[in-house]
Amino acid sequence: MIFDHRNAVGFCLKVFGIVLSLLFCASLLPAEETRLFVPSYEGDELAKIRQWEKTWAGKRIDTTNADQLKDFLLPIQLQVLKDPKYMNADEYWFELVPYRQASYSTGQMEMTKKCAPIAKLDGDLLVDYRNMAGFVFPEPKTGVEAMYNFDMQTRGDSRQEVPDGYVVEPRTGICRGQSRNRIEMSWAGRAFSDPYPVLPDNPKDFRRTLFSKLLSPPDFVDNGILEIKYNDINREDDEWFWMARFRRIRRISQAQRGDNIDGTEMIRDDTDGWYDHVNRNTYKLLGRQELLSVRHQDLAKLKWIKKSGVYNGLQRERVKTYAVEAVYKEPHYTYGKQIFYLDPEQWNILIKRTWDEEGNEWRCNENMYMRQKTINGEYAYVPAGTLNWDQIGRHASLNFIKWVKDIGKIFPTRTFTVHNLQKLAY
Amino acid sequence: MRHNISWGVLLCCTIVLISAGFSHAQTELFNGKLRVKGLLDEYIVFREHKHHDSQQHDYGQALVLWRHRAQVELLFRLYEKSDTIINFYTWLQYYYESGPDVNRKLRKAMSSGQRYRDYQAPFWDSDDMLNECYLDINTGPWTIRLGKQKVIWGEMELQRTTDVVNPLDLRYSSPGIDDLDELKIGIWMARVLYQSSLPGDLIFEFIFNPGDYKMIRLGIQGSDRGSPSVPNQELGGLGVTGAIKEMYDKSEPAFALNNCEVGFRLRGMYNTKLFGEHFEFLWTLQYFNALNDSMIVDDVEAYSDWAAEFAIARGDGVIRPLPRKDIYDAKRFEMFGLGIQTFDPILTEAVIISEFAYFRGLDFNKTDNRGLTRSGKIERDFFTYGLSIRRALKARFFKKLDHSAQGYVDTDLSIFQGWYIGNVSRVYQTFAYGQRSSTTFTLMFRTHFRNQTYTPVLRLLYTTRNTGYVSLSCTVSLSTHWLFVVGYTQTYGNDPTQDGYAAARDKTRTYVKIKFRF
Repeated sequence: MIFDHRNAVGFCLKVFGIVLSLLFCASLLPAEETRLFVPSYEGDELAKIRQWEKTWAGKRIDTTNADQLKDFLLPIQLQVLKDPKYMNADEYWFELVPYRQASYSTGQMEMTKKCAPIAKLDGDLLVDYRNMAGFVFPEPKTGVEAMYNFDMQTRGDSRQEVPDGYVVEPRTGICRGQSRNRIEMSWAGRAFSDPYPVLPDNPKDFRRTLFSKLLSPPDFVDNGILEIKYNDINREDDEWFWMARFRRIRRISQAQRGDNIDGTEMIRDDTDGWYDHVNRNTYKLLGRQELLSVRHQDLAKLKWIKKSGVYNGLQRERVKTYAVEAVYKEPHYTYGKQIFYLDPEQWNILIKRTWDEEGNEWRCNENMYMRQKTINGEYAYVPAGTLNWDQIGRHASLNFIKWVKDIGKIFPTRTFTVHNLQKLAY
Repeated sequence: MRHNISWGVLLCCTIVLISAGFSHAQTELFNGKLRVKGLLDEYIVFREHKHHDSQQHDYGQALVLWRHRAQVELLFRLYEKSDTIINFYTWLQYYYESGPDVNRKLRKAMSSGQRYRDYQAPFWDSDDMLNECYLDINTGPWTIRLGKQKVIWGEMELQRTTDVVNPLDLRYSSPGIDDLDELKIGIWMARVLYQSSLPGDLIFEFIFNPGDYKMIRLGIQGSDRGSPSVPNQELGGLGVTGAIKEMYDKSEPAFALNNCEVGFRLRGMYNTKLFGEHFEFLWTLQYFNALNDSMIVDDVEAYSDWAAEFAIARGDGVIRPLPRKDIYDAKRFEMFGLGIQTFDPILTEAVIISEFAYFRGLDFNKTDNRGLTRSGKIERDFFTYGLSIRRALKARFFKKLDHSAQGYVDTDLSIFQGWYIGNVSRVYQTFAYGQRSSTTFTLMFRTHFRNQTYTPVLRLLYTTRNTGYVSLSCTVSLSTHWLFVVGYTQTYGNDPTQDGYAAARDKTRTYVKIKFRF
């Protein structure tokens, strides 16, 4: 057979045409859409949760049935449920409530839609950090990405609250009360009240400021703390302390940040789970872990058992958290390792476990949240309290928020000054 | 005596019973408009007697101080609207020192008049029971405080450099044992602060004392912190220092406008970058024009006559009356001060506090006899500075003792130096005669155990005149209300002419404090 080159060319052209057509058709297919607000459960999984909740929702979980939920509780939580005397309580229980998908503010949605598509990391630094807001990595692939979501959560942008708490020695029942008036404001990363993402008048480049004045115990009344975090991630936080007894202002050194706050199970970095810049740690995303966590707490239902290290009446719902392991980059940090369990919807750190430098599991710090109205009529997830246990020392410190107000308000700049520490202090 | 003890104890018990009804740390009444806070405390000191001078009464290992004290702080919210808040604050106290009632030798060492009027109860001045009492007006950037108040202008702790507004009451305690705001004596004054919007967060402060002079209160002769008593009673039951104190009291300037005191302070923040790191400085500039809270002999002739008479009296045993006229006077001086506080992230990773003060026109008595007699008046300027480096260190040993503490030890190393400007060979000084300069080092370690239930503190002080003390204390905080402190102070010194610590080298003491706070 004689090879007809005209047929070969025609064949090639036909193949080329088919390939081109296929490519063209492929380009018309919609790209996989980036989902911005991914709920903890959806579809079939949600249906399974609802089915499971038919058995458990509304139930009181205590010594008698805690074992059946051990897959959703941390070891120390289970231990205390089964043996409340460990924390000097006659009983310890919580209420299991149905899972509720979190709601979002207008600003959170707007900023997430705007920032998530353009968010990128340069190593472990978020590019254009100062101007980012919302949940910049909605479906995080790494621990760093999950932590930047946490970092962008401003818990209402600002608020004033009074946490009332106790430091408890369960072995003896010795306890000391503590109460403070706390004003916190975010200057960048804002997503609840205008303007967002940044406050325009910010010459010192604040990122977050906290002003706190103690209301008790008596020796510490009027003691004040001013903490300033900057947008510049290479700049250390500034922290000033007013000692009412001595009537002196003291700068707090970085080394002191690793010490316990007022005898509690928390160091300064433990506020909200992690209070320092994201890039201070190296992270590893461990995966998803379902835990019974507190996200929609009704404060009226909380009850502290006197001289114990527990609250009864916590309202826990099943949440598929992101578990992120963190190791501080500098040596000789207070914690050898930490694991944060993040809310996959609002990205708060719901629970944190820590290990000491020798690798012993040490503390369990739980942050409870509640949904509260902002001054704009929307809702924000703000702290309802904390529950902190020292497993090695068998000690507890806990607080609940007595009241919270002015969520989203822009507080005057002079609130966050050294002079304000000694104003109205006696 | 028993009557007084009973009254004091009954008072304390009554207050405890009333306050026991308060279950919270502080109480708010009338819808939060009235805040009530207070404390009851017992302060007991045991002293080990080592001084073998025959003029010293031998206390033995005895209780030398037992102070019962009750304090109540009331804060009234008088007005609140928008950014204006007006409060009325008052801090009341009553105390009774029953050491002389318990220790007979202590009682005999003190004159009865001074013991009752100037020592055992708050009767030195008519307003002594009023620790502070002022109207506090806060409106916008303004803060105005009118009334009896204590002002702390320095940031250093054990030694004062620029903190000179209020005099100290050192009759019972000293810095490190009692808090500085408890040791200070309140003065009636006006204090105005203005928080500006100028760059650097500048705060302007002005204080005006219209003439309320208060002198420093030193230990009463014969008491724990006073000079030793003397066996001769030629001064009608007083020893020499007791007599001088009587003359002091008589000469103390009255409330008068020409005894007024004025102060200005400017405070601000300064941010800069040094060697690639951010530094934030809290700085202050101060000016203070006031009467010295230590008086000097103003009428040297009258004093010399009295001293000569007393020298004779010590031989013949005949009582001589004290001079009728005012012999002492408080002289005016000026203080220019500078304070800086910052955190050094590079070298020391510590908080650094430094203060500088220049005292212009300090008046002293002149001596022609190497410190033995006063022959006139002489003026000298004085420059002093203090430098403090504070850092939290980690001590692994402590971590082994208590896991929760993590071995954190707050450490403070300080140096204080001062120089008289000019020759001091003719300056009369009770201690350190002829010494133109002084250098003091202090070192403090503080840690905590069991979640700050136990807080031990070790303080050391050393002067280059080879005097000083070591003090170890432990605070135990068992609940919101109860606090216990146990302490031991060992003083040392060689030459009584050089330093008060040396003159009181037998003042090694053990003390206990029991506090109930509400």
